[in-house]
Amino acid sequence: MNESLKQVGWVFLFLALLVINPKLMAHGTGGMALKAMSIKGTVTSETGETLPGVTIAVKGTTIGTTTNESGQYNLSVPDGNVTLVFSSVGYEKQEQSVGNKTVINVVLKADMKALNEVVVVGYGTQQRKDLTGSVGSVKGKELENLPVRGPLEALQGRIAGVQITNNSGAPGSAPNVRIRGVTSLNAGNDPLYIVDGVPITGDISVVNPNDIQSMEVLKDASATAIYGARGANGIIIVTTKRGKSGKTAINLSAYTGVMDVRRKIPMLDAYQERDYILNANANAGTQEVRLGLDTLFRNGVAVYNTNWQDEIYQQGAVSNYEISLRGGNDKTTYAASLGYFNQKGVVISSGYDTYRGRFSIDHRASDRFKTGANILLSTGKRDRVPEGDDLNAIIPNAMRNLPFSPVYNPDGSYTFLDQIQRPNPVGLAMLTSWFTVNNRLVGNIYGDYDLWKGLTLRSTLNIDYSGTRDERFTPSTIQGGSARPGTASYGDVFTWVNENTLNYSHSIGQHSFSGLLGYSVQESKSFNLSAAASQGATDNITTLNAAASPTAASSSKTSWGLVSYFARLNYSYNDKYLLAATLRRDGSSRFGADKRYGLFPSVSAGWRISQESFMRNIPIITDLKLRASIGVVGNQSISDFGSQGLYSTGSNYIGKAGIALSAIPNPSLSWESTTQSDIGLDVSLLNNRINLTADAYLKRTNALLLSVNLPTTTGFGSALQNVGNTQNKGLEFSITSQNIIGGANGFSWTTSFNIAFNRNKILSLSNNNADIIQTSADATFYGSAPQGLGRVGEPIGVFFGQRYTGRVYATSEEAKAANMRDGSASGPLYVAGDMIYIDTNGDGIINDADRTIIGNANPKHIGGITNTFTYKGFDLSVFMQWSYGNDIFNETREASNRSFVYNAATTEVLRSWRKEGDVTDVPRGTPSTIGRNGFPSSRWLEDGSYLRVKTATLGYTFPSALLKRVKIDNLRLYVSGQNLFTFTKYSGMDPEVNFRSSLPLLQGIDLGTYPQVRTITFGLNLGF
Amino acid sequence: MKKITYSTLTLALTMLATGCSDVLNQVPVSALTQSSFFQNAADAEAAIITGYDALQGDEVRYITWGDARADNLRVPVAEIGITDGNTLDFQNDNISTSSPYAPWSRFYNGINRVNNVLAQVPNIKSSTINSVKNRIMGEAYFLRAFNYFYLVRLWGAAPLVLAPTLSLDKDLQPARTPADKVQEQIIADLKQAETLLSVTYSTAIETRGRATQGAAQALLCKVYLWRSSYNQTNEWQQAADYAAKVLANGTYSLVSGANYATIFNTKNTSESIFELQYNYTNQETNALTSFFLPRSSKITTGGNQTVIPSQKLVDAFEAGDVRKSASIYYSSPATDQFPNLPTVAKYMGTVVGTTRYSDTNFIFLRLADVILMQAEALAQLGKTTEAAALVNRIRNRAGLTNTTATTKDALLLAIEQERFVELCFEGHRWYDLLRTGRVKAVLGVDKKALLPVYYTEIQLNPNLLPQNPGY
Repeated sequence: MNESLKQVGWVFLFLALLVINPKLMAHGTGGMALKAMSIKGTVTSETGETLPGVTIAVKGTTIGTTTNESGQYNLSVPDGNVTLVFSSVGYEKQEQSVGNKTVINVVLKADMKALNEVVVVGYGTQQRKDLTGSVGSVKGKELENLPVRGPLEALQGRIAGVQITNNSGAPGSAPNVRIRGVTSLNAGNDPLYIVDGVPITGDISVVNPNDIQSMEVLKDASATAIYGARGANGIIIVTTKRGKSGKTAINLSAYTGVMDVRRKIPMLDAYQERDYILNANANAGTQEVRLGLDTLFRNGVAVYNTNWQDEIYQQGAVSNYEISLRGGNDKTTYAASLGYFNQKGVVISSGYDTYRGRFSIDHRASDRFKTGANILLSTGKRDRVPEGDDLNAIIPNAMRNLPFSPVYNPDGSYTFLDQIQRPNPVGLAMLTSWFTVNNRLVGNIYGDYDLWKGLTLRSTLNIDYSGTRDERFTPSTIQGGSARPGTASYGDVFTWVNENTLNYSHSIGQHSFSGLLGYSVQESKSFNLSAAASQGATDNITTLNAAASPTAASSSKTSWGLVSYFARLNYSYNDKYLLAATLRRDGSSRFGADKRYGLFPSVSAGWRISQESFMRNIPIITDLKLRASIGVVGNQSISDFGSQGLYSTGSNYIGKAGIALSAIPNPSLSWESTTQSDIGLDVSLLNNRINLTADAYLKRTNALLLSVNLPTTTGFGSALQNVGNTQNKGLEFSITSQNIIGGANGFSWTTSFNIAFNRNKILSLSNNNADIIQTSADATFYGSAPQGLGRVGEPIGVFFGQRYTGRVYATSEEAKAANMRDGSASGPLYVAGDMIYIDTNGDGIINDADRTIIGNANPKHIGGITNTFTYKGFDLSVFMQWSYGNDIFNETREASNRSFVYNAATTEVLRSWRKEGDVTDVPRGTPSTIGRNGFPSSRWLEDGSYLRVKTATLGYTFPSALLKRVKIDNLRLYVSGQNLFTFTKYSGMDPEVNFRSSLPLLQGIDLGTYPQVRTITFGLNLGF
Repeated sequence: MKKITYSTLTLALTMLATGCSDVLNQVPVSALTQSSFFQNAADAEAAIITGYDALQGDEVRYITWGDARADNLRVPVAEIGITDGNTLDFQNDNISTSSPYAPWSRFYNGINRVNNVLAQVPNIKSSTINSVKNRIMGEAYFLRAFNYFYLVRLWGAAPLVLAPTLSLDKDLQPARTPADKVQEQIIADLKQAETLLSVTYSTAIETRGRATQGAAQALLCKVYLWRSSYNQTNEWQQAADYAAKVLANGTYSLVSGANYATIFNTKNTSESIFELQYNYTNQETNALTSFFLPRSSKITTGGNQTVIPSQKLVDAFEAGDVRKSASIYYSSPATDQFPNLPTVAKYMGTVVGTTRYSDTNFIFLRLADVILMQAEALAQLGKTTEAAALVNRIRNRAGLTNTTATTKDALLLAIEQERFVELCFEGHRWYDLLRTGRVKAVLGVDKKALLPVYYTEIQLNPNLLPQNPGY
């Protein structure tokens, strides 16, 4: 792979030279006679005050100065053929050509840019000052050149109230996104993504982060209700860069770097492990026979002392190369880009690479008609290793395997199994062939027609195609491969959407109106094909054609459709009072015939207090706006035919296919509806030097799509019905501040900060509010799986289990006195060295009846802070991000340390109970599996809070005057670190984990999760 | 220019006109709905298959209910430890209302499936149904009776649901029907099945693995025997008559003593009447092999050895009984973690290369059982000579001499002993002791006759109260 990287690098370099050379050739040897002259003047504001500290620069040079205390300046320039640039934070930049003037006085206009900033909203754009809803926005600049796979990873920590968790650090895996908390237990909590107007679900890594113009997150109902039945979990809008008329801009960018794991878990070495095993056998009165330990040590020296983690982790690498073009004339503009991203994972034999291309064109066909198209294409390939809940998972096996076995046989081949039949994780990683390839195309074509003054019609046709292929083969040389099993699957999803909107805007005096009417139809069809076979002929053919016995083959199709009508009305009076209302009517094929259509309204209002006359005299306040909104949005993310009673296949017998009714038809099944209210305040101070946004919200979700338990005499265990309520309430704050304002070459420092607090609660459930207990369906060799609890009054995402006192029975007398039994009245007694659990119900038995809430996976607050410093051509940006107050269930540690000594254990067990009288928190080792020291208990819960330096970048931009000589527009070199430092008390590899990401009741579980990596990259951006 | 505008508008309007209704009426392609299923014979065949599918997955419970609660299996607490505390609690009659042996949901799942067949197959209009309709209806009646017979023996009174659940508007909280009424329905269903079913199918697997006339008659014999002994209905003659019909059926014959083990380690012998089928090549396997298989001294292979044969059973085999080695073997010091323990030999699965697939069939009804049931019925009717002859058929096949019992009481005890060793680990012992009132006499302690109704069932349907006695 390194070879091909190099090649790509060379191709880029070649391309760069091609572009540079002709220009170099064309460049003459000009140069004019220098005739220095002196210029002076005064800079004032519109109100007549003199302005100190204004930067005056000679355009295209490094020559410049600043105004003094009284706003005056004096500057020497080479000649009159130059242009002066006057700039000061909070004021609009102004240019003045010198000519033969020697005195240039300038009046700078206050910069209302932040307020006039255009924000993308559903089906349109709005100026920030006119917004009445809660919309977070990030400009593309902030997302550029990060060594991450897609836009969502780049967005992490940058917008208040948007919680993005990388479930796994595996190359190519998608993150988990939650906006303002979890609302639903069954119907999905993922936001809806709109990429250049195309509504798409699932992953959006088809977009190259460097192509992004802006990302907007719509949070409150006034912003999301225009998306009706899909708005309950928020909307993320991605807008890519469009072409610009004028000179063709060519940009090349490249970065490359290395990746490492943050830490490895300290495990027992061969000597410590032997000691642990022998002690356990001695206590149990048994002989160690399983391993034959005596043969594994020679003269007291371990024959093998393998550190499995050292064997499976390596230094990873990441690189990215891309080229982009933007240009056009006054009628036609275009933008195009092509990029290649490659990642070699930190776990051996894992990696990811993706090619992404994009083309957009906009054409003004006439004064009234504008049309254009946009296409995004990507192909991504993951080279995978088994993870998590899999007998052959690499990381858990590296933490379960004893150190007594070697990695390689004397002949260099991989050992197969260790002394107790567990697979060699190195062999598994290197020899398992597992690839997932995704191809995606998102495209649209639009036409805009000006029908009449202020009235425009827009019609778009969008498509989204995603095809995913997965192939896995296990050769006979590793565990589980004796039959050489293989699987192959393919699935695709095709969605088309037609949207038609009418926009109208009009102003009469102080009154401004704008309105939107729309109609949209969407249909999505998906197909899945899978096959499995075994008894392959050879290890060298990994495809199924070599397999003698096909074991499974299946294909299936499904589909859904959505028909919607929507409208929006905005009204503002005197730029002071703002009103907005939206309404959407959605019909979804997923819902019952009786409840097919739903109505989703919202209203919002804003009051720009700073426009009131009584505020005019407070110069410190540039802008002050109070806004409030309320609305209803829905969630339709359930199975496509959930309301129809389906006769499904699969109930087979004697090799004959059976078809049975799999669910009771429920024609009244409907969407979940969320009512959200929001109050917000936007404040700009000191000419926009400080901008503050605060929001408080309350979200109540009704008619949850819940599985309601039925008496089983019906023949069914449950039926999907609309019952139950949840609530999320929270506070969000964002501040951006320009702390120090330098001139063009001076020192400047800006800070942006955001923090969000969300509190989540279940208000009611089905079956008379009966608890919902969900057990993580993990393979039994990991010990007892953690359990999540859904209980009225508690948050979604609390852990349920035994409460550990943090002490084991120190002596047999103590254990005897406690007289505690395991499981039932006839269960075995707890003995010395066993964990002391709290017998919640006091019945002398530790069993399920004693379970209580032992932890909460929801953070108390999350946030991020970015500090950016610039000085001359240097820029330094440090972005930190945190999560505070969330618990993690460390199931990886449970799997190792649940007291069964034939599992490799972490050094925690050096504290284990060894003999009568030991007072400790770690139980005795046992030579056979016993459940009671491995219950899902509070022993495995840890504080998952962390603060990490997510990104730190130091860059240098070369002066343009210098670059001009070689006809380069801009050149920037940088070094960047990702996850440089992480401050946490969590004992696992990394606190950012979420093993069961799709199950709201089982958040925050760490089970052999591929860790987040620390990345250091070097890169360059080059523009012509 | 105008053209473009108009075509855009036309495109938009066309979408508008067509989109609405089509897009919202999505029809499932990979599954069927109420309106598209039960159209022809193939649908009916696919529907009845699910009734057998519903019986799969409960094999460990069939054995725990029938054997582990009695005296031929025990939890090796001292030798190995407790693999599953629930099994020990169950054996000790210490059954909680949340025990995994208390839910009845699987039976009602099967009942709902066959109720759907009984309700909808008569409405199929396609003529393809004519040649198979009787047989499919017969299978459905048989399976409904089969499920209810388990329910009535384990829980006594049980809700008698005879119509499928097709909507949430239906009464979802039925009360319990007295056991004798449920039994009357079982008998009525089985008599229907007897007339509708054929004697054999075209393949041996189906003849042994699906409902047949012989299976209906054998089950009728069992039901009458249960009622006569447990409810003292004195229907011994009916029991004997139905057994006689099975014995007269040429489809069934006893396997020779030399081949006794083949009943369990090959599938579908001539002795088998109704045998739940498994085959790893169809991805149909069960949990029985690991339930009994010894724990390996290696970690990844081997079973759980959750229960092992009791010493009482080991001792109950007379010298020279060929059935002993076919039923019990001893774990090996070479490969097993706990050597020299008796181990159940009837569910060894299929070994292919180094892989052991757990796919031994589970035999519900076989000829030896019917022969001993007829012997019991005849003994009860005073026909001791005929009864002794039947017992001797079983004993002689096992390599044993004739029984010495001659009186009715002695013969009944001899039959009990013969059923003990002949049918061990096949899920019969507990019901035999319970119906004959011999639980305390044989086990030394009294045990509750019925299982508790699972606690969530009562939460979801208070009409099920009162709970069974003792819980």
